[in-house]
Amino acid sequence: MSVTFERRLTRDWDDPGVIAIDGYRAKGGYEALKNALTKEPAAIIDTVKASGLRGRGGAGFPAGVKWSFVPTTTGKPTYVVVNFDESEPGTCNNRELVDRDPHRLLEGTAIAALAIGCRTAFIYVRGEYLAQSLVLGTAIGEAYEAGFLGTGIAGSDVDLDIVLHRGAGAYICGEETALLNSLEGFRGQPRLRPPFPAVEGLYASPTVINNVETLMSVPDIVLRGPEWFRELGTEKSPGTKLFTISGKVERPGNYELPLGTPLRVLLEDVAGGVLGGRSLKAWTPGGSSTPLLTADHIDTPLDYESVAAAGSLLGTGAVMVLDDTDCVVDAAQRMTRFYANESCGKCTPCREGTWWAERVLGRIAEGYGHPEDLPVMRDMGKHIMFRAFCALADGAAAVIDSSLKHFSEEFEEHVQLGRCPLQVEHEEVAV
Amino acid sequence: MTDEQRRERNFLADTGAVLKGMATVFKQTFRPDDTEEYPKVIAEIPERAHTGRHRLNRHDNGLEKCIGCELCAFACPADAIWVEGEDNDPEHPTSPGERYAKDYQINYLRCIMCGLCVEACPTRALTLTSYFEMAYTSREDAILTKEQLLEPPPELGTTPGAKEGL
Amino acid sequence: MTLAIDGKEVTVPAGTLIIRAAEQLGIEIPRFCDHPLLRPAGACRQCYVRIEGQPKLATSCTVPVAAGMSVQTQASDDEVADAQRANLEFLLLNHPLDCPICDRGGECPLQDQALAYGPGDSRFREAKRVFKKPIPLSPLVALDRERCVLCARCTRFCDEISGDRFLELYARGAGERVAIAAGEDFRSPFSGNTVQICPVGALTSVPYRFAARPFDLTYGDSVCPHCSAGCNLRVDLRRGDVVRHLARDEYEVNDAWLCDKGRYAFRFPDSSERVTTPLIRDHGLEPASFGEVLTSIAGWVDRGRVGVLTGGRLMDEDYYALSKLARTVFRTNDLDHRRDHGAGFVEGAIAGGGMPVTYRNVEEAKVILVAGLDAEQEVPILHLRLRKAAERGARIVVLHPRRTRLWDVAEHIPCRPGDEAWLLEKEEGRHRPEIESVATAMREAGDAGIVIAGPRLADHPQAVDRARTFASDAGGRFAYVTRRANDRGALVAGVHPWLLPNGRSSIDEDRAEVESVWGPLDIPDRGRDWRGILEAAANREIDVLFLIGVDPLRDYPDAALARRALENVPRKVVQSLELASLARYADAFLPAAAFLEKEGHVTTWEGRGQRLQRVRDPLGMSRPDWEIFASLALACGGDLGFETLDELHEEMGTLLAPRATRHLAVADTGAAPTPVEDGELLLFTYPLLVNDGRLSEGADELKAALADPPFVEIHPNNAGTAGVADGSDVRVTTAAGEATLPARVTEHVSEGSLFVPFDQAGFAANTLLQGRFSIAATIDPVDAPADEDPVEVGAGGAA
Repeated sequence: MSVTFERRLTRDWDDPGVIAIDGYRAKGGYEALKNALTKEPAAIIDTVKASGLRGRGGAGFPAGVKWSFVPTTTGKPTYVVVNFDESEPGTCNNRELVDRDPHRLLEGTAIAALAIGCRTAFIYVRGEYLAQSLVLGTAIGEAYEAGFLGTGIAGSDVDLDIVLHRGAGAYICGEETALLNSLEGFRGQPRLRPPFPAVEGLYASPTVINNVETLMSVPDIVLRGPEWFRELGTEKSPGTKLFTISGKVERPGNYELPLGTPLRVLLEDVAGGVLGGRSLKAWTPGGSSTPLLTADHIDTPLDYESVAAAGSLLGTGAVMVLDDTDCVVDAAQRMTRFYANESCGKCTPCREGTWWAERVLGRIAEGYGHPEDLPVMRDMGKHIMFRAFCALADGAAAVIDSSLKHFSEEFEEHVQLGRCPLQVEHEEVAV
Repeated sequence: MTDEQRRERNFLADTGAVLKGMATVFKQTFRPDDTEEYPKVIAEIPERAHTGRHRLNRHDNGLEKCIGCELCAFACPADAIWVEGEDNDPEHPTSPGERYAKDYQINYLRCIMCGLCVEACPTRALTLTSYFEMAYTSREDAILTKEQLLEPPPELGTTPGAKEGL
Repeated sequence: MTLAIDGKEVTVPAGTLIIRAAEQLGIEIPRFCDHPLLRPAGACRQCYVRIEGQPKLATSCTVPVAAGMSVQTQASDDEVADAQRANLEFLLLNHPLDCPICDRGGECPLQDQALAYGPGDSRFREAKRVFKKPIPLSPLVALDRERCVLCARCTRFCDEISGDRFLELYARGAGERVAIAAGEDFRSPFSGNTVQICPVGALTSVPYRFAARPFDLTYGDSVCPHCSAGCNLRVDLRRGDVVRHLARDEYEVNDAWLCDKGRYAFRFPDSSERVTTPLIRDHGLEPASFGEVLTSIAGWVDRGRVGVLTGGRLMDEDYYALSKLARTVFRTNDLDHRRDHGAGFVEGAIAGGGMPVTYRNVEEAKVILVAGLDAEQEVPILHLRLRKAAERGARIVVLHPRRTRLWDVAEHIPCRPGDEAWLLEKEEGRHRPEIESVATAMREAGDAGIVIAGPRLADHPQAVDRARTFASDAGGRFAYVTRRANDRGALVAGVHPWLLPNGRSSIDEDRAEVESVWGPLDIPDRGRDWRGILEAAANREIDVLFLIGVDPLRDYPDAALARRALENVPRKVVQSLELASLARYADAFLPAAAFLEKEGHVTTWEGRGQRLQRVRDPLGMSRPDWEIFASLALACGGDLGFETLDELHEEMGTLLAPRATRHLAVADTGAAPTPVEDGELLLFTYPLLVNDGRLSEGADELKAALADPPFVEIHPNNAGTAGVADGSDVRVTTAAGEATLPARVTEHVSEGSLFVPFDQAGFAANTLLQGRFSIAATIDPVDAPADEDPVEVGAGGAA
């Protein structure tokens, strides 16, 4: 089975010229912004709401609804913050989107700013994305020069500034309130909610925080209308999504597909199947913080509802593929190590739980597991999940929970044999 | 029953009781002697019967187990224990860790041998021995110092005066 | 709002957190990061509860109540109990098992809650996290990172309460730790509070480190003897010696805080200098019985004129007895507790005026004018309240010749010392432009506007009255704040040359009221004030000088006059804890009990009387001051009429009952700016928090942490004119004397003035003064070889 559809987010990827503003405008760039300038903010929000566009950062919250929460009568300024702190393991779709089409992000951001009456927008770039911040910096410069940013954008009487901010390299800053703290110059730790950012976000003012891919979907919606957007995807998850597939596949990379496309299509038709023709053992639908699924779930349609029904989350759409030679204990330990390292340390279950889990998993992987370790691990997963301050720990617990759920025999074998049954060499890396 | 008959019966019963009593005396007279000949003979004490003087223990490497935490003093219902903690000299530690007991005294005029101090000790530094010869001729002697408590108690019967039964 | 917790209903105001509502029901929910005075953090995750209808467990310290909410705690929900147990297991993973030697062991929230709610056993097989320890954060506070549970109470205290943001969390994940910037010292006068609110033994007090085990301690409730804030404290004794002061929670006074002086300057009652036997001068000062000494004093008093000087640190009962002793037995009004003009002619109104301003009023105020008070250095807990008010949105304006630590939350109006009265005075019915906007804001705030007048104003006879008028014109509240712990009590008791108890003047019906209790008084209408007494003593117009808890050589702003007075008075009777510099002069010494050795009351700056418990018996033969006064009265052939504290209280009650007060009309001379000759600067001085005072004896760690060496602060413009460089030595010359001090050139001090601390080790500023705390001075640079005697280069004052 193959998929044919009109590419949206990636349609100009074959043209390196769109990186510059002239090339982008030649392809119809910034027309959506001009169009949006003729509309009332409420009309823009209604259009985006009608399109059913859902946040691509992981939680899948409808973008238009999010925008409509912003109060406009507080007398405070409002802010749009672009969450380009793309740090989820296995995820690099935002990076390529910005690399190949930076102006679309600026245009989407500008439209979001118009919708909520924001005069200063921020793009929070992951610290490690130096190249992308340079690309964006150039694009912002061009946009100012061409009059799409600054005073009176696109000949209107609306002002908009976009400020680029590079993070310092912390996964937690992808969590929106931690991102706001980091942006304000504080320690990157999540804030107590309520108040939610839409009411009291950046500098205690109403703030909308959106993912890069979400905002890049906006210009087309404004220009072509919500019905066009809904032509692809499912009823509740309309549109297309850029999936990142990595791990044991023949052709890893970023592929745009309509939401609701089954994994089988992505894995076998698009990415060329499991590496070396081996069989699929496990996969994550949305980066390492989403529960693992198995080969039994290969026909799961990749949309928010279907993946949730299968017991996982669509997350960032980052599919990581494990084949039958991979050791699940080893994989779980590597993922948990990431969370132990990236936990901000604020709350106990995440700080201590991930640290403990990583050590116990490491011990099991090395063959020093005890039979009592497995119930301990199950308990840990149970007591980290939904108990921590923010969702980071839920991601960590998801790894532990799902690997134990689907592969408990493999864990038991490790303990009984005192070694990895698959003879995978466990590599100890100091955190 | 006449008074005569009653007297006769009483006489017989009384005589029987006296004979029974005498029999007991006679039997006991020739039974083997159960008296402990302490202090001339010192009886065997069961190995795990720790009911006597305290001892402060050391680790195998010679460091003292006591860390000067005073929990024994706190547990003591008779207020018999005095502990004064002090920081270890990192170069020449007396005990492992940060603290050791600079002074440790047990007053055996107060001690009631309840063993709560031993239960309270978090490092097993304080244990009871089976040494029970704790009779003193002055109040000062009844207060054992840390140095004395660190040493194993003397052999039973070797305490001055014990043999003489003083 | 009404909600149910564990099935029990409770009604609380909207916005109350669930954990607080549970407290009201007496339901305990375990917690570590939660503190009622800090903003919710939700960091430790210990206080899980189930809120009916919510899928996840919630932390009760972060969720406000909602009407009709139904909450289950660990007592009624197994999953909650299970979650709490698991969380404690997480917390204990890396917590060392050194409870037996930990200072907190025995009074540790983690220990207690682990016992009550935790798992019995650990399933943790891995090695625990290890850190170097202890890490000294300052000479007062040491950090033991292994014990830290990262609740962030200490860092939040620094951010939210004291504003001295020294502590911060560093790094992340399991490597997260509390730390201080490299090379920094935790130089906050509130640092000790972080130790007290630490829920484990991670932050420890250096002076208390390993000093005692909690179960060794005997303790009693007392009130801090250091300043007029009146902080409630717990005095901990180990085998009779004071080892620790802890703050007691009292939300009407000190919240839950203490300043570091109150916390760490606790060794003076056990000082080796303390004298606990009566002494009488024979050949030298010889120990004697109370009877002998009192008989001798009675003989002197009988034949001579008496003057009485005292400080501000005795108890209300002591002052009452002293006031009565002086009037009824010594027949004199020559007694004084002040060392400046006090509040001038407003004092009567203040003494009888009750509590016009409380801490609560400060907290809830909208506008506060702080005039002539360096709150952080003089009344630190009031400083915290001012910050709390600012946090709640109050506008705070500080009128002071030196910038205070309120700089980040308040507006400062710099002024030259002595000019406050002039600034606060209306000119042709209008306020001066500098003060105009404050006056307007005060008028708008009504009784949510407060004027706080501090000791700088007391240096000027009219200034406190001006501040009071400023407040009353705007319909606001007014408070006069003095520094010493019981200045107010002394004033109320009438230890004052023209005020009898409760602000009564010594004329007319006021006097009659007092005579109805004390009997006819044979005293003049007005006695000499402290300066008059010292001058009279120097001129041999006084025969017996009583020095009750005061050291004239150190306490009064005229060292030369004090020395002349001591040299010329035939008989000096010292009643105090120690002799110190008075050993040469004393003819008789009466040993007084320290604050923790007596029962009674002290009065805060607000006018609030607070009770002190007797925490231990008086050392040696020392006795509470009032008892000595009563015995002395008997020895002199008089009778104060009370032998027990109860009898004393009964009599005090009749005279000190609330009454209407009168504002005494006194000829007003107007408040002109302080005149200074050309080329002269105005030197002013006040004691810093940590100084060389007698109550800080033995507080070596405190001094190492917070005491400044002597210095002189000069405004850059004045320093430029005089050719003085920052850090160089400068000679300060006044009419009274001269001193060479290292210069701190800083804009923290107002232009045209010089600041020197009053009483730092090695320098007594009163040698430069002539009866006031400010004086005209000149400065000259001292040419010293550059590398000799290096002095610390200070960037700026107390800030």
